[in-house]
Amino acid sequence: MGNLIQSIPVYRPQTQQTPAAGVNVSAQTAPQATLNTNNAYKGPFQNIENQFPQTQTYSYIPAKPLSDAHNTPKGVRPAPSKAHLVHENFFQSIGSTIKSYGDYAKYFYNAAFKGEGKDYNVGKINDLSIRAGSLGIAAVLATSKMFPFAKGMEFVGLGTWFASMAIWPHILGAPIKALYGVNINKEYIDSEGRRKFVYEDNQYRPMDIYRYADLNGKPLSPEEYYKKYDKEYVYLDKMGDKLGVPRNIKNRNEATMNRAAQVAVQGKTLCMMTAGIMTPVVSSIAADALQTPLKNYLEKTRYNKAANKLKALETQIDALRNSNNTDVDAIMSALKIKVTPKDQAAFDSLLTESGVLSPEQFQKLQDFIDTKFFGSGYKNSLSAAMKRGADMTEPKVFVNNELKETIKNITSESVKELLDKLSAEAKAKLPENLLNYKGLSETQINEILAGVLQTEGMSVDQSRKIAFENITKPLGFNSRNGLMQAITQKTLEPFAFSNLKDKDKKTPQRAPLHNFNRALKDTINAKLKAYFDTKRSFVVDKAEMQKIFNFAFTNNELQNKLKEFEKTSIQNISESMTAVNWERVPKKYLKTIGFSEGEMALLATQDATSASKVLSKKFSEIVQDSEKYQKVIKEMAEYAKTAISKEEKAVIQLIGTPDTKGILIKIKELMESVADRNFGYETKNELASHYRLRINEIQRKLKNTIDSYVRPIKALDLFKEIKNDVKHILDYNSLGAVRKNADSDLYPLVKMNREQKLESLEAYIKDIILQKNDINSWTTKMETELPGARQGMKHSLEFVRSIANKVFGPLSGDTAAAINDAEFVKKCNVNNQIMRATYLRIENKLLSRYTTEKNGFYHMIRELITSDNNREFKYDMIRGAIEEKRLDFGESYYNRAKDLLNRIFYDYQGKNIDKSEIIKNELNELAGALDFHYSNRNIAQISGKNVTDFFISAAQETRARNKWMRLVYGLLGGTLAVSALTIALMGKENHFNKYNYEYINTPEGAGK
Amino acid sequence: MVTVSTIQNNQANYAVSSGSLSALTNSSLEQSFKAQNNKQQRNAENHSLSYYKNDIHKDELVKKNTLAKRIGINIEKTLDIPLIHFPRGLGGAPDYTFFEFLQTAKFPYYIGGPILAALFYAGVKKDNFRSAGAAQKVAKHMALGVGLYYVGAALAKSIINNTVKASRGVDLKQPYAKYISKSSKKSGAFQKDVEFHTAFESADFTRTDLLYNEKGRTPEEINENYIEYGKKYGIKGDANNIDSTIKPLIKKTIVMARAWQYALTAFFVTLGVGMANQPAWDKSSAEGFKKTVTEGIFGKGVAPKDRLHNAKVVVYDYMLKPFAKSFTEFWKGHSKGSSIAGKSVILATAAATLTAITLLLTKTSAKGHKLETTGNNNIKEGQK
Repeated sequence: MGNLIQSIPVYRPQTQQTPAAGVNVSAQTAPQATLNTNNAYKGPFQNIENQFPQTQTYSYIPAKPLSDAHNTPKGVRPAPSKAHLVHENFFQSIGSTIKSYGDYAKYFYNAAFKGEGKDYNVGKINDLSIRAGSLGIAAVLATSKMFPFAKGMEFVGLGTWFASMAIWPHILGAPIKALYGVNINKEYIDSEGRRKFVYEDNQYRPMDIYRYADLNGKPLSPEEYYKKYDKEYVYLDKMGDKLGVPRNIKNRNEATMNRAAQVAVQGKTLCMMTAGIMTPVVSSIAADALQTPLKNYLEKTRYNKAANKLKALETQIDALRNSNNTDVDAIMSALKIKVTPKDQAAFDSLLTESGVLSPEQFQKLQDFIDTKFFGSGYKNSLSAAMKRGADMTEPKVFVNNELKETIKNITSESVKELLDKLSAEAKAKLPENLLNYKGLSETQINEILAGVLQTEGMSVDQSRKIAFENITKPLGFNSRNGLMQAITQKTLEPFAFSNLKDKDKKTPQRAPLHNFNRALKDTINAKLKAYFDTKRSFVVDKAEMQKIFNFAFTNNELQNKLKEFEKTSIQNISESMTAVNWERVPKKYLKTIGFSEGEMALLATQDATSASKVLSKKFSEIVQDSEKYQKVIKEMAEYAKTAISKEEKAVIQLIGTPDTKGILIKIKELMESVADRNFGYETKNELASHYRLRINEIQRKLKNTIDSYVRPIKALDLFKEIKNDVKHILDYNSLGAVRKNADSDLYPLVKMNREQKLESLEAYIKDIILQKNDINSWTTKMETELPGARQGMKHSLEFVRSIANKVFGPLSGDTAAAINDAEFVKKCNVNNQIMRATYLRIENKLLSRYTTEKNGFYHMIRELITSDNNREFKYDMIRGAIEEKRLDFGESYYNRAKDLLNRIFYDYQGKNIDKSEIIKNELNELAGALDFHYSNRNIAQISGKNVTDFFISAAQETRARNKWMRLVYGLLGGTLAVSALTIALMGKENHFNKYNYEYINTPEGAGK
Repeated sequence: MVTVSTIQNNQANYAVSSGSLSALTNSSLEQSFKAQNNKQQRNAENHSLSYYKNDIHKDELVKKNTLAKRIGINIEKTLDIPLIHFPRGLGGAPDYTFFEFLQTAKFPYYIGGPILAALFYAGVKKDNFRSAGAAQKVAKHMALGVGLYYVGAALAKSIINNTVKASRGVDLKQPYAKYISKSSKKSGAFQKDVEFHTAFESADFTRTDLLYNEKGRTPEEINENYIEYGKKYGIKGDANNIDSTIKPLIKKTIVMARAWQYALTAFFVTLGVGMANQPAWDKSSAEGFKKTVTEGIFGKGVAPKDRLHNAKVVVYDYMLKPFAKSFTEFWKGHSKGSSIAGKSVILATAAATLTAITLLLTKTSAKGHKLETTGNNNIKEGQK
């Protein structure tokens, strides 16, 4: 035992025997040191002793073993550390993140299936699982959403969430690093290859990893390192300088590490305190910012995709139209439309092998077509076509129990039914046995049947045998008629009726019975006939049925293809052009007009009346400032143009221009011709009307859009000139001259003085333009007085008309100049003209008195003929009206109307011809044709959102957004401010940290 | 690290020096009787939490791991985050531990979700009656989603915990109080002397040392917990060294259990959020629920019978019924995509759960494990 203890190498103090030059044991790692090979090894501390000669009293050398070791100790010694700092740029770090997820998956496999791994690996599985779970959640939520945008936002939200979670520590880390040189997000890879944060565990401070890090924290190999620097830990030195660690202290690196750890703990804690707020805030801001690009992208790609498909379809349709092919199958194969197997199977199951269908089966077949193509607008004609294509067979009626039962039921039910209809009084006049009638007895029925069979030439015995013994036997046409007669006769027999003479029939007592019997006969016959009909069957031509089905299916498919395109463009469905416009443009209008916070609150929260007051006030302000007016009009017109032009583009693709046909028109014509050739005009007509409805709907949609966006511009325009307009209306109508006594109740204006009149009329018109698109709602007051209205009516009529002329009149010159786009101005004016022409509908009671309004364009056309003023404008307006009426006219009359207008405009221009002839012919015809009261649309359909609603919803949107912005940016700002303050106070001496340093050169050693 | 040999060593030394050999010479029958007795005594030890907080001087297992204690510990730990860890962290306390860092890391998860939901609600058009209504519905689903997210996560954990506890006797939730030297208080004004950890939280540094019965006098007594585990793991080893056989198995169990806990969490939270997103929850209004709870159960002047009834209503009509219905709705889906998503999430969750349980039952068993026997008794080696 003692031997053993003696042999343990220990250091013992010994006096220095041979003072020698420094011998450096770490010669390889410190090439700058001088190497003296002449001297023997003197112990590890020799070098230090040489540096500090004053302390050189003792040196430590190993104790000498009593006996020499037989072999040099080879035991365990710490393996050299392979740990090094991670120094990556942004892309490298993304790369290693991706790579690490692959590693995490491996960790999971090892841990979950083999139970192998360490805390580090298991912890990483959690990271993987959190991301996988979040992705799963996003996927599940996305599938529950209807629209690609909402689906996309689930993933955008997820992405921004994780991104901001990852980014926030770096945002905090940057100023900390700049101020103190401590990178709280610095990572290192330990000897086992695990990636960890340097400052993860405050009580584990790996100083070694800084040994060969250059000034930027990049780890170098020792060789490289010593090429650049002459001492270790330059990075820590630099960090210490930034941290304000005094230079002349002992163990400065350790002091630096301690100070860095303090800053890191502070930084990491700050990060944890703020991440809960900043992650959702930054994520919301990022997701919000990504919304617009995502929406734009979706809108664009979806529209382009649909438009390309439509283009391809158009090529196919063109080819078909050119080839004049009307064969349904050929069209189907050309368009690559195939009946789905499911539909085909359902259809086949409704047809029988023989092609013979019972009435129920036939009804089912019809129902199938009906439901399958419900809403397609031509199901009735298809049903008709189906019936035409099918033959009805003779009813197959057999002598059997069923027939007997039916006869009994029919007779008893017929009597009962008729009796139920009679009053008690009438019943009293009928014989008793009739009131208690229970139908023909079995014997009676058998007798009748036997009788009927005999008429077919059957012997008495044979017929009775068949009738009484229930032998099934078919009845021919004659037998069936005979049966009907016999049954009626037999039923009526007991009431002793048939033998009566004519004159007796008319006696008062007999009359009720007579009537009853006649009715009974009819009823029984009808019921029997209905029964026989159920025994008929349809023989259908299967090929013909298939053709009908194929045609209906093809038409449906084409409609669906068109609908798909509409969904991305003109329909107000999420991500469509229309929807995106509606989301953005009104807010821009609101901003352009420049409402204050308070005005916006009023707009958003009050009722429409208060809101329109706010608008009215604002508009009045704007029109007074000419410069602002021009700016506002210009900007609004720009927004309107972009919003409208997008939709217009889509509509042109569908319907076409005056010169070209759109795809919808082409399909319409193709399908019409196919229907005409194959199934007859009924189908064709119905198909055509259905297509017209669709075209109408699309045009209406565009009108809505134009009106919605143009109306605020027109409103401002009206506000600008309103003072003059009101004066004009008042003077023109000379309302002041209306007899006070007769009409004062009807016209509240009459009682007022001129100032009051002007004011109230102004308010009235402002209200109309801001709130009441539909003139019906502002003529009501006059109409209520209609029955007794005599004199005043004329004034009312002119009054309303002149208001309409102002409200729906063309834009003023100033406004047009501000917009500075003739094409757009024309569009606005045409739209307004149509509104004016439509404002009084045919169902309006006043219409009979409004002769001028009936012929909305009469005056304009007349002026075009008679006057040389402003002819282009008038031409444009009338041309627009013809365009609007195109659908009502049909193509041929549409062309004629254009011809008429062109003749009036070009041919008669400047020529000295008799205008009265033109007025008699062309004018009357064209003006009559342009009567909008018989149009497909009324004003309620073509008018868009009214101005007040337009701004109310825009204000609500904006306010909600402003509130959100205030909260989000408030949180962001607040947290950033708190963080900045905290960061400024980091790395200072405080309650927890007292800095006591032992200085090298100052003997006092007074630490600060 | 405390091992059975060192304890045994100490005791043997003590016995020798005091001149009493009784502990070593007792018959095995007596020993086992005593062990039984001791165990009963120890099980009766049921300290309150304040004992562990104030009176311990070394790391100790929290005996009687009850729900109430765990809740108490969790409340304490949660409150410590803002009250102790944040001030210490902001000050940069030199003795700030990794445990404290991990505790603060929970904070963003606690408040992040609710803040996100609040931000969503702030962006809603509240001026507009209709959109406000629609948004409330969405907000409700979001709140419900957050709720069921936590339910899902808890369920995933508890499935694994219960499987492991039932099959191997290892209680992964077993807390222990970690004694932190008081000297650390010098640097800070805030007390930080006891941290509550769980004994099996780390696979690398599992506190298997705490599983020995330090008061035991024989290998059977000292190793009694290990003997219990051994039964569950299917080992009939020598009582003297059964601990060294069990320890690697426990580590393996911990690694596998944690891996599956995390994996199942991903499945169950997806399931939970998916279910929260179903229309079944629309019918039971949040107001109705609130009213039934505040007025029906806790309201004034309600007959006890009615309170009970209302409690049933709350649990059944407002929770279980929509819960079950939302499950079927999630399965069926309202469109092709959502139906596929619902079915696959449910099936995948079920499959993952089954896999996890099967693997835990088969792979952690000692039957598939190579037993490493040294052949020598550790005690003898120590005495040499």
